[in-house]
Amino acid sequence: MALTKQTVTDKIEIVGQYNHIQVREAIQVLEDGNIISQSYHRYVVAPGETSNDAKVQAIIAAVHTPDVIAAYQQHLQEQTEL
Amino acid sequence: MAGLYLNHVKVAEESGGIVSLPNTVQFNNLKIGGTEVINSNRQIQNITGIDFSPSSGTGTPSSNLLDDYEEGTFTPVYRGSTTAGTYNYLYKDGWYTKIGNVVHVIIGLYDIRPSITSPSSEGSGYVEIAGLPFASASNTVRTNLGGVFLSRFNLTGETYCSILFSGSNYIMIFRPTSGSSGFGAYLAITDRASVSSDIGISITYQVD
Repeated sequence: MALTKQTVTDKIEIVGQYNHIQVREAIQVLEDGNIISQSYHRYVVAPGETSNDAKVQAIIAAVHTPDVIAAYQQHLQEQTEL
Repeated sequence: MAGLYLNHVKVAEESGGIVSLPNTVQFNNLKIGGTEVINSNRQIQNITGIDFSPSSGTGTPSSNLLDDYEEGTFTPVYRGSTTAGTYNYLYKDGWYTKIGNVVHVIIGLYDIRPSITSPSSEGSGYVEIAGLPFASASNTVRTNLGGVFLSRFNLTGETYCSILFSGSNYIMIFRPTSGSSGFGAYLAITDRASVSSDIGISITYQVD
């Protein structure tokens, strides 16, 4: 009986007008290779932000174009303006 | 007889499509179309949603369909809007629960302090809490508000709230002003009153 723990990126979604990349990681505890416990950890990559995950980096390159980044920055500026 | 127990029973289409069952029926590992939808732990699984739309009258599947539930954690990050800076924390916790298109998050950042003191790695600009698990809905102008707990900050007045704008993935701390003199103000990095500060947030917001 061997217990191991691993974190896998199990879901990547591109959502909204500004192509936010939502990443879900599954933190899994395995017994002899079978999952016996699992919990989720999430983060979002906004246009202009980076990620350490190679798969996410490839998606960033595809969907966070300079135009999208500029539009998102403009959107944030308009939203937060006092 | 307390009830009828069905184990490994297949009702064929040839039976007419309508089967009347007694009031009490026990299923073990119920499958629909070959997919197990109730497992041995009495948990519903592998379903695409719960449709609350009435069989007649108003209501559409899209607005009556509960199609998602998820809970988990995320890592909140304290940063400045102009310069992010780098910080250490005693605790840095984030929990989320997503029900349909609404997400509720609880954030605890305790003992926030610059990770480097000389020269200080303190950021600049307004306080932002990043690292949210989902981006807020971006298709319309929606402002999501929540509560905030602030410890060891220089505050002006006592009314602060957490605010998450549409199409965004970070929270700001906002203080409204009364009358027509101004819109309000955001909590700034320079408002920290101590070497270490604490922030707690509870906010609910819509997602795409």
